[in-house]
Amino acid sequence: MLSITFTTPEGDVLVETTMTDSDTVMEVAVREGVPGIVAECGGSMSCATCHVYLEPQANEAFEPKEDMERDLIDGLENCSALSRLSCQLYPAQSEGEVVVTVPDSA
Amino acid sequence: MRGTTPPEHAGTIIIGGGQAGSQTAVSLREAGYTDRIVLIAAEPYLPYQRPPLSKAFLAGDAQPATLALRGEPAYARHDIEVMVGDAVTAIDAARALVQRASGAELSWDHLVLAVGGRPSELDVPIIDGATGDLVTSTSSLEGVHLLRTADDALALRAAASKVSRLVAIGGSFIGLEVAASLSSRGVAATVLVRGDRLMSRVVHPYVADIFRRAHLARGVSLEFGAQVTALVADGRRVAAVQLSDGRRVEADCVVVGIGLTADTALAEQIGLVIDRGILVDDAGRTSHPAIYAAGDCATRLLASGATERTESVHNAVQQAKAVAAAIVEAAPPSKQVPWFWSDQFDLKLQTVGDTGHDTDTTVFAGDTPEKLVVEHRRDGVLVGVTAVSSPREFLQYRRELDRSHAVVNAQA
Repeated sequence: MLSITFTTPEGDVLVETTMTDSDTVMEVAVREGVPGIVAECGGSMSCATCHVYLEPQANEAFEPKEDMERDLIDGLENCSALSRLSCQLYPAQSEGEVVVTVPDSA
Repeated sequence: MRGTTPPEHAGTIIIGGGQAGSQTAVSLREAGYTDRIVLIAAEPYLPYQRPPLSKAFLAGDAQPATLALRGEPAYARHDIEVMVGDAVTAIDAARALVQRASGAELSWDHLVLAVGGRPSELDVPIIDGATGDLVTSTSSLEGVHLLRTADDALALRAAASKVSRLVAIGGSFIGLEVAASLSSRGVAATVLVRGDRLMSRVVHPYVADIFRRAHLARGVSLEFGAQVTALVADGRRVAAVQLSDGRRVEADCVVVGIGLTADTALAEQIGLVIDRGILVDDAGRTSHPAIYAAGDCATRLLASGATERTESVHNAVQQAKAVAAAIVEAAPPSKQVPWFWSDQFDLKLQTVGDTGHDTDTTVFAGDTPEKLVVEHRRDGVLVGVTAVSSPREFLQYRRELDRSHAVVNAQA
């Protein structure tokens, strides 16, 4: 199981839990009720309200970005080099610990 | 038996396990509400998302649990009691009680109706395919589906592996999404469209035409000007759909997607004002001061005196937040410009704001014929945007519209 910790940009822990190979990070966040991950469109890449930041090392635990995700992230106001859409974060490894930062909601 | 013990009490009871119900509960907690919250859902699932039922869920093989809007840990964290598989059968407004199917009564300070709606049924006769006689049996015809719940979608998915000819009645979102999702499962699909354009009520003609070509190119048949006059039966099963102009379209599976009727049964029983839905003000208050309504079941009374009922995730979330704010007597939430999406094959349709047919439009072509953005203006001011497979541009426009909307609100 992959251990996953959701934090605020200041590093305060929001939720600590685990995820399986069949989960996306968005699904975990929704299940746990992580504040700031709205996921309005349910993972169909229509809304970008599941935006998170991932440190490069944590990025390796997940499948890489595809074109549509990259495109949508470009349209976000608070996007950075660390931006990912959590609905596209499918685990690429089944062990380890990752930290996911939830942006401040406007 | 009714004893002398008073019924259990909850500060707020929410009836309905959809987007609006779940959001009201969470927004109440986020607004600092501390009383007991009970959400009662008739279906045997935690409140779940409905949009995927005609899209990815229908095309794929995920289980209903994956549709949940929030999981049990989320409700536990917010101290929200969710009672699934238990319908409310009656409301006693004078005594502030709800009666549950399971028998138990519950009393409330605030009641929220987030009961949604049910798909409109096709009101046409059934005729025998061999004799042409009217089939008088009142039992429904096998192979005819409505789509609203996860169980409806599961039934349709199971049927899809056994049928070869799907006919979707209705050329709007449900019909088109179901045709796209089931053709990706290998079913030959035909969509019957009443008028001469797809999604004619809501989508710009130029955009409708892109979708027309996209469906045709991917093997979906489209029949325009199709007025259904009867369903044709072969024994107890549907065999075809009869149209008024003599066309008969063969089908071993029919999906009826001709609109949604708000579920107003409970509201009517207690005498709330109804106008195609449960009439509410901006804060979601019904005509009873302690009863609120939100989502597909609610009709909003606008300042102009006109009324509007909107079926969308965005609307359900906004109305739920407004209801929560009203219950805790907080300032109403800031309004976002309404938006909507539909996925059909690999095409993504997104609209935001006012995209009415009477707006002035400018079309911006994308880098493929199936990508474009339409700007909608009134008196030169951008009021809405329609985007096809252009999610990044859409997001930017949506933000721009939210920003200008906020400015207008601040000046009002």
